[in-house]
Amino acid sequence: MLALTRYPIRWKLTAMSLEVSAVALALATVGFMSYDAVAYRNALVKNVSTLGEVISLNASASLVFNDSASALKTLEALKAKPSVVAAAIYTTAGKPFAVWQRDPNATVPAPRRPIKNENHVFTHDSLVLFHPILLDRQVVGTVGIVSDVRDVSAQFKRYAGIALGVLLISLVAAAWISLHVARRISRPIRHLVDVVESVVDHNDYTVRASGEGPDEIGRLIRTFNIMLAKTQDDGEALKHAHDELERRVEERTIQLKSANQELEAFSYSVSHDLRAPLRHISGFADLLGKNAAVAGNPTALRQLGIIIESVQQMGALIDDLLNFSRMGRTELLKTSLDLNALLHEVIEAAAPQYAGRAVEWEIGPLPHVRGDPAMIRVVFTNLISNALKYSRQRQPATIRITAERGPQGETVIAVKDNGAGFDMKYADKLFGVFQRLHSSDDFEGTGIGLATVRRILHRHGGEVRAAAAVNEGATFYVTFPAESKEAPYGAR
Amino acid sequence: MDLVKQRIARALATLGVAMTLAIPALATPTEYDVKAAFLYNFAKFVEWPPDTFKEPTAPFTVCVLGDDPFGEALEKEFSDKTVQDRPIVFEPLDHHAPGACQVLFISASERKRVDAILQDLKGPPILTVSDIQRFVKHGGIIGFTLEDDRVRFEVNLAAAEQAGLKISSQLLKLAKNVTGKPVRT
Repeated sequence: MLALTRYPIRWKLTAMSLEVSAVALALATVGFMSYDAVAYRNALVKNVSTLGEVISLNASASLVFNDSASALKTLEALKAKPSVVAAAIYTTAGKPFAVWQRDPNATVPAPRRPIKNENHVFTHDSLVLFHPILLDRQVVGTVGIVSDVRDVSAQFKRYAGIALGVLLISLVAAAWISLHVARRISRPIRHLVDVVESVVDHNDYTVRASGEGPDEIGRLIRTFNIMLAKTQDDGEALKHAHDELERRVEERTIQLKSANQELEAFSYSVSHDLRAPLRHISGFADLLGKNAAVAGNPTALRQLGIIIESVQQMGALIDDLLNFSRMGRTELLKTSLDLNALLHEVIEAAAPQYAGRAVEWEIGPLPHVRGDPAMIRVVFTNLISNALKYSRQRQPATIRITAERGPQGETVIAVKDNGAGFDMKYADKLFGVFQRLHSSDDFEGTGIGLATVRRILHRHGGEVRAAAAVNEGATFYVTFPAESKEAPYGAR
Repeated sequence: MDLVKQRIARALATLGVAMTLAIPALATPTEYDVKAAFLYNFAKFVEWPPDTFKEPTAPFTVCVLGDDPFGEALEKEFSDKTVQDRPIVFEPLDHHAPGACQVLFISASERKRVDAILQDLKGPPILTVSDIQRFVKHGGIIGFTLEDDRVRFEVNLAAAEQAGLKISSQLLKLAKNVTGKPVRT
């Protein structure tokens, strides 16, 4: 049975029932044939024994009156029995008294000694039976009969052949029946296997196995269907929850978007509208300074100077805010940018900021990236400006700009200075609007630059982060994605 | 192997020859030896009426009337034997009435009186046997004859019936001649 492991259950069941029926049939056949063989022999012996009995009854007088002619006549009655081939009567001395042979060549064996009881012996083709001849309970002789059993053997062989034929036919019938029965048993199992495979292959939990019933397989199918139903329900609940979440996210996003747009519009218009009165203040402050009365008054001039400076500061603030706002609103026009050229232009433009200072520039070979030229220029203008600003107490200031490739194929540009640096625990505040890590007394600025940088990079699908330590300089890493893709949602 | 077989066969053959030579030398049965045996065997194929024996232990009696021609043969034949589970008694008779006999052998010496003897015997169930010539014609039941030195016998069935004796068909089958057959009704 072990060799059958790889065959279908149907075949296993068939083989099993075939084995059982073959063994049962073979045993039954052997039993019947043995019984028949014994019964046949017994019947044969009984038959010949009866003949012996009859002969002995009729031959006793012949023996005692020494009349072998009449004894022979008695024996000749055996002609009527075709199976008897020879017979003989012996005296008590063992001498043949009368011998009859159907075929002159037939031999009649003599009894070894006078016998009191009947005995017989089977040879391969004959039965030899000796029967005592009794007269008044005294043994007066022996009759021996030789009966041909070849006919019986042939008959028995025919019978064995028939039995074998019946055995074979029964086996074929058993095979046919067991195949059908096995198919009936294995069909629901195969169906279940098909359904399971279909569920696994197509992730389809809506299918159901048929054939629920009271037996083990039926219960298995029912349980499996219940399991499928539960899985399907769970899946649907999960999908529903997911859809609901999605819907809510979308809703919130729309709300956020509109709120953001309102806010942007508000801040833009506020910034824009603030510029007009500021221009008036600035213009009239200039006129006031040219006024003779004020020009002669140093105190008034100093105070007027503070006003003008504050107005300029406020103007810068408004410009930055507008810029920041614009960076979120204007459309991106991406092209391939040579960062080497762009950086050199930016540094050149920043020259007035470090006039008279010792600055060491290290600019590594930089790659091309895809981006909006104006916006990327703003990014590096801000970063270079910051680097120069926070390193102005260094003699000399060292600013290093290098490029490397990130693990996902993105391009990372590092801008490193040896300036004041900052404490990393405030790193999360670095890129917020109006978030400043240093007082404006130490380092002037509006606190909008890095927020603008981050906004631009987000719109390009990239990012910016910083690593620093107090008084040990800061490094800003600008990342451009490996391939141009749309900016993540909500980065506008 | 074959040598051994041959030797055994030769030894057996020699033994067989010796035996066949020895048997006639030991006992060649005489005519009256055979007749004695026949007398005994007749008793087995003849049925006497049930009231023949008065007592359960009464012996089966064989009588010889006249000169006994058997010599020792009868005693030898009948010793230690039974008929119908009864011991056999041998009784020689001279001229007495043979009323207590079951088998009566009438000697050839009584040839002249045979008709008278048989006349006297009418009635009781006695199997009369004799080797007097044409004994059955005289009304005897079984008569011995000789045929080529072989002992044969004749049966008078009417006489047997008259005596109330039933003779087995087997015996009749062997008889040389059966007279007085009953007419089948």
